[in-house]
Amino acid sequence: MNATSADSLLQCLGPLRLAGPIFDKELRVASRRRRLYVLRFAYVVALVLVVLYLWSSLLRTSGGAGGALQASRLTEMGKGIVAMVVWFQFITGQILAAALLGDAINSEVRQRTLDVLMVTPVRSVQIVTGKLVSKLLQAGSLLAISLPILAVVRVFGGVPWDYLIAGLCVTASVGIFAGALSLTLSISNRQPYQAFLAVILWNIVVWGLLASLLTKLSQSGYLSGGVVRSVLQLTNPFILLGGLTQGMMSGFGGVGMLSWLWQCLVLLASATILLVWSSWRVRKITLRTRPLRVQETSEAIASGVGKPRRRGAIRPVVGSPVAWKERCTPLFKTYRSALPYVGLLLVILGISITLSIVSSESLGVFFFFFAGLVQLLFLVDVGVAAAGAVSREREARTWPILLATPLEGREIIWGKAIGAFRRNLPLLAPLPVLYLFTFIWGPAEGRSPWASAFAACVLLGTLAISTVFLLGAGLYFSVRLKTTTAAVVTTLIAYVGSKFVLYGFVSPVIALTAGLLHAIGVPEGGVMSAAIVATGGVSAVVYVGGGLLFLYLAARRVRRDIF
Amino acid sequence: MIETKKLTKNFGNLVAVSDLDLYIGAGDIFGFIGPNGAGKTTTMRILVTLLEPTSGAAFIDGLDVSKKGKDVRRRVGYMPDFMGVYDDLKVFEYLEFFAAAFGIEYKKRKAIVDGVLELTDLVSKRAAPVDSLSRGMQQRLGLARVLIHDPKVLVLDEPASGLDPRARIEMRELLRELKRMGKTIMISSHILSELEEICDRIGIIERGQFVFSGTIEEIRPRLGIQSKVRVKVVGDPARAIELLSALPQIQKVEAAGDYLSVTFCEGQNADGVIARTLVNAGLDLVYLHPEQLKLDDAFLQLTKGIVH
Ligand SMILES: Nc1ncnc2c1ncn2[C@@H]1O[C@H](COP(=O)(O)OP(=O)(O)OP(=O)(O)O)[C@@H](O)[C@H]1O
Ligand SMILES: [Mg+2]
Repeated sequence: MNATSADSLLQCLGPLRLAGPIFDKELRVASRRRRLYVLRFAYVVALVLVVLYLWSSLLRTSGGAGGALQASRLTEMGKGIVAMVVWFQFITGQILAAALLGDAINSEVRQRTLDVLMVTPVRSVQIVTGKLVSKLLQAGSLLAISLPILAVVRVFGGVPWDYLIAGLCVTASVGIFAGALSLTLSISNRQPYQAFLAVILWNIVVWGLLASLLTKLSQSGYLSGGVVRSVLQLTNPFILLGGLTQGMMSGFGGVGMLSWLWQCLVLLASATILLVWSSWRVRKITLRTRPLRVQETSEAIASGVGKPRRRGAIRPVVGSPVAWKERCTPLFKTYRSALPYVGLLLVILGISITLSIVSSESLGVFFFFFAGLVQLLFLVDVGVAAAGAVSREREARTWPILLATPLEGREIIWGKAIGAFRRNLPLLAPLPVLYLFTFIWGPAEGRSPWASAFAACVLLGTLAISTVFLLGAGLYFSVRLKTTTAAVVTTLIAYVGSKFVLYGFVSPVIALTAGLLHAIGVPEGGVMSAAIVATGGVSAVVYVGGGLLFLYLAARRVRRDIF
Repeated sequence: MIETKKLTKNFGNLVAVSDLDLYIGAGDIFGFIGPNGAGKTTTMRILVTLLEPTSGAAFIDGLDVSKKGKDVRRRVGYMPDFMGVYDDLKVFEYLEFFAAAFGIEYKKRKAIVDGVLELTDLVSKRAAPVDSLSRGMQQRLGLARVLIHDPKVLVLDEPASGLDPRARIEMRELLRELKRMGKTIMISSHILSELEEICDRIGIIERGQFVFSGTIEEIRPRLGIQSKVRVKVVGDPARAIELLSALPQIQKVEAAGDYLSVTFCEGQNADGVIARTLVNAGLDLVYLHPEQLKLDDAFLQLTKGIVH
């Protein structure tokens, strides 16, 4: 959206006065940001990758029939592409909405503009809806890029309109819901990416784990299947879209035409509730921001129960000063702020234990799963810490002071990397226990200790190379991008994207080579282990190499664009 | 000690600093004055290696800032106009962190940090969290940080902003103390009368160029302002005007309220003649005082307040 089109859009919408001045301001600012162009470019690249990937896999399954593809294959391909694009929009729409709105109220509080806004006649409802609508328009303008692909695919024929419409409606309402959730969370979370991560977690826990728990429970007869199915169809967009897609691919209307309409309504109603609550909270938070802080500190001084670290003795600076400083920022500021993390782990633990009991899976597998989850949380935190390392200093205006010291770029970056790593190390505390359990349980489940050890090694190896990559990418984007939120989101997307490239493009190549080797007459065992080693080797090279390259580039750029 | 040659910095089309030639000798305090947006901060950032100049060169202690960045940073203490503080550190830790960043040995750090705390009168805040300090105290902490590696050159961007009158006076004392220690100081400020008393030389910059550079005494002739005195007589002011206007050393006499404002001719100073003339004529002279050229006036006259 460039400035003139923003202006003309504003003129068209003028009479409607959608949400007042906030909306106008957001749209105007958005049109000046480079971010939108970068986002658009990234979106197109990702979309092309997805379509290419689908194309290549379809070509592979069509078995190289040589020459022209039959019409039926074309139709199937068209359907596949449509499904892919709809799913892609569905996922990215949520991510975009969460990312763009994770900073909505927060940034106004941080820049101390919320107070100023609240003393104007602008109503808090207008602030909230203005933010929501303008950011969602931005997200929508990005998603609209993929519409031409859908139009082209229609040439292949066989794309049902109702699927497309249902898909777009579900995407839109999920986007609105994710945006409203992110906005609500952005009121109370100090760091902007926290809201974003919370929305992602909501997806994983509520729509992923909880849904699979319910399904399992109904499968093993604890709950009535019909009830569970209709509840999920009403509340879980993933299951709904899955059903719709299945119906479209198989040619039968899998999900009743109107059930998606109901779910859209449920999502929109939830979003409305969140918005009403937010606009009430926005006013409250302005009214109490400052006095509360004063009260808090004076109470803390009076009772001597301040932030736990603050009371500690003065710590001497040892080793690299930058790494030392990074470690001084506590992982959790207060015991209370650690609660969500612990609570989340407990919830996931509870759900997965119930899952493994009702589905009578082995407990060993569950321990591996849980270890993987702890590692994932650690990785996300490392990525977030690295991505915030420089941009937070820039936001706090401490960056020029640090750069006025004789520290070299690489000393700063290296110190930050070490610091971010060591600071998050306590998160891995449950790992040794979990791996010990898998080791102990192994023989009872017919798994040799060697197999357990091997699995643990693979998981730990993945952890190590991913850590290097995330530290590198996080610091690089932290140096390059202006805000912490942008750096965090880009880092996480780069990580997920790298997985996608690795499993989407590299693994098939390795599998193909392995197949060829087997055809030549190499024994299967040898081919298998070679393929495993090759996959591990390639990912190690890609992640470690990429991470180190990012670190190098970050160090080189440290003294550019300081202000 | 500090020198720039045809220093220019552009931000896109905007010329923030243009062909600036600056020379500050060792041990001098140089006051850097200009309206908002004149290019003071930009010049200082270039001097402390945080910005690359578009063209021209700048030298600190004979070292080119764009080529010998690391060596320059060792010699310079820079205090930015807006500065943040780390929120998880205590005052002592904060200073020790920077001592470590400047490569000061572990064993020596404690003594040095205690020394600057003493100098900036922050000893009582030694164990206070940095972000709990008031604005003025943070400013003092910033000054303490600047001194931690004992730099030869100090570049201070509006160090007195946000300080109360008492703290301002203390800051001035501190700067004098630092001058006695032989440091070269470049200081920018909007509080002009403050610089007047401590600066050896001042430079007035506007739109990236000096409109004046020199000592405070030199500013008078530059402005075409001649020496003036204020005179008050009891009785017949009209006769006094008549008498004084007749004197050859005096260019003009104006009545300004109860007072007379007497302007001398170029290069003349004739306080004694005025007194004698008036007393001899039988008029009661009750007040005679040289009119001082305030830096504020010079500032207003030299700059037109054009902000770009
Ligand atoms: N990073 C930047 N990008 C673009 N323009 C800039 C940048 N930094 C400064 N400028 C512009 O350069 C000019 C000089 O700014 P500078 O900060 O040096 O002024 P100043 O003399 O320090 O003003 P003040 O007294 O308000 O601090 C201004 O017009 C400003 O808008
Ligand atoms: Mg300035």
